[in-house]
Amino acid sequence: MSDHPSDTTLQLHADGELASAERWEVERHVQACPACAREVDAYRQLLGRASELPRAIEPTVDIWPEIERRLGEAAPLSPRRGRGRRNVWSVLAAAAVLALGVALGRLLPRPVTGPELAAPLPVQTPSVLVTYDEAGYASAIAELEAVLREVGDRLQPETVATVEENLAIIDRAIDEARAALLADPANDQLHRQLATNMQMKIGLLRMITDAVTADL
Amino acid sequence: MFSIAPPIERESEREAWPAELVRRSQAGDPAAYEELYRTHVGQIHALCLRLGGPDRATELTQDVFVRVWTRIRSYRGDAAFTTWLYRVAFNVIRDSQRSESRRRSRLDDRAEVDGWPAASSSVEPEARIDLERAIASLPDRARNALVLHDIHGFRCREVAEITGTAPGTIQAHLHRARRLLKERLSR
Repeated sequence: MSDHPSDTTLQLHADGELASAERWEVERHVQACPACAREVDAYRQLLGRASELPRAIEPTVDIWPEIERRLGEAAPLSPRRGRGRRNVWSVLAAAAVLALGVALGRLLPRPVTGPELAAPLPVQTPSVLVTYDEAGYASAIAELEAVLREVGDRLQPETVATVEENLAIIDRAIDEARAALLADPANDQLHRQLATNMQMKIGLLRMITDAVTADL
Repeated sequence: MFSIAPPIERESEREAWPAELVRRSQAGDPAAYEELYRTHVGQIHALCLRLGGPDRATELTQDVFVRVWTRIRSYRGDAAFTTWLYRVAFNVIRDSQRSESRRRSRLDDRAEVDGWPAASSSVEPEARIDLERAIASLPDRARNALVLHDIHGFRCREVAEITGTAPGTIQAHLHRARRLLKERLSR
């Protein structure tokens, strides 16, 4: 290894979480490199100190009497009869509205561009008119989808089917906007449409994950 | 201000979740719930101290155990009870973090030494307070990942489940937290 390992790699090495082949390679580097050896040593000390902190710290006063008093005002909720279930259905209703909006948007005529324009519009580049971070949207969507995969088993199968159906509508709209942009990359309205569709998907995923985890 | 319980064995503690106490609590038995509370209050209070701050830890701990009581019937046993309990606790604390961050600077408030236990674990008292203060000064999401992983002993996958965040994101927050902590402690 000619270059120094990354800080993350050194942390993983200090934590003993590297796979054996990489661990051997990093260890060989660390033995020959005082700077990296110091970093690994500092991380090992830090991890050691953190792991020695107490994991349980009792309150000095007994707080159970106050909790017990409040329990008297709050009975255990039956599963799937509380707030979470209502939220999921209200989310599905909102999802249907969102998906309908997206579907209608796909049916509307696209803006006329190119030689069919009767009169030229002022020239404005998409970067001036529309600023959005597609990679940021994609990252947010991926994160929310991962959460949904983790908590999705709390939903009824028919609810999952409805969610997937509505997400598919939005996905089709995203794909169509992307395809249209390939043919007309300077079209500002298509950029806006793509950004709106991705925001809708993020909003829908966030509503669903919030509704499912709100029951906790 | 607080007394310290000895560290709990990580894996064995989580595996031996009190199924019978949970079942009786789900049936509405307050005596079983009190026993469940006494089994876990130290862990939850420590979490509230570190993620919510010493000034709000007692109130947050109460809120957590009230919410657990109202939600306990939704626990289906498909995850370890402790993981589910931490998830409920984390949701309560996160709500508090959101409102606190709007209200005032966390650094000025949570890094106070006064709220932290003066007694020692196996770490020297002063060194321990320094470490707790440095942890309290971390950004919320970095601190959440570090406290749950490096102090409370959950794996990245479990931290992801507790916080409702993708495991890759937890790894990124964890590495950032360790780097910041190392820098702050070396000043």
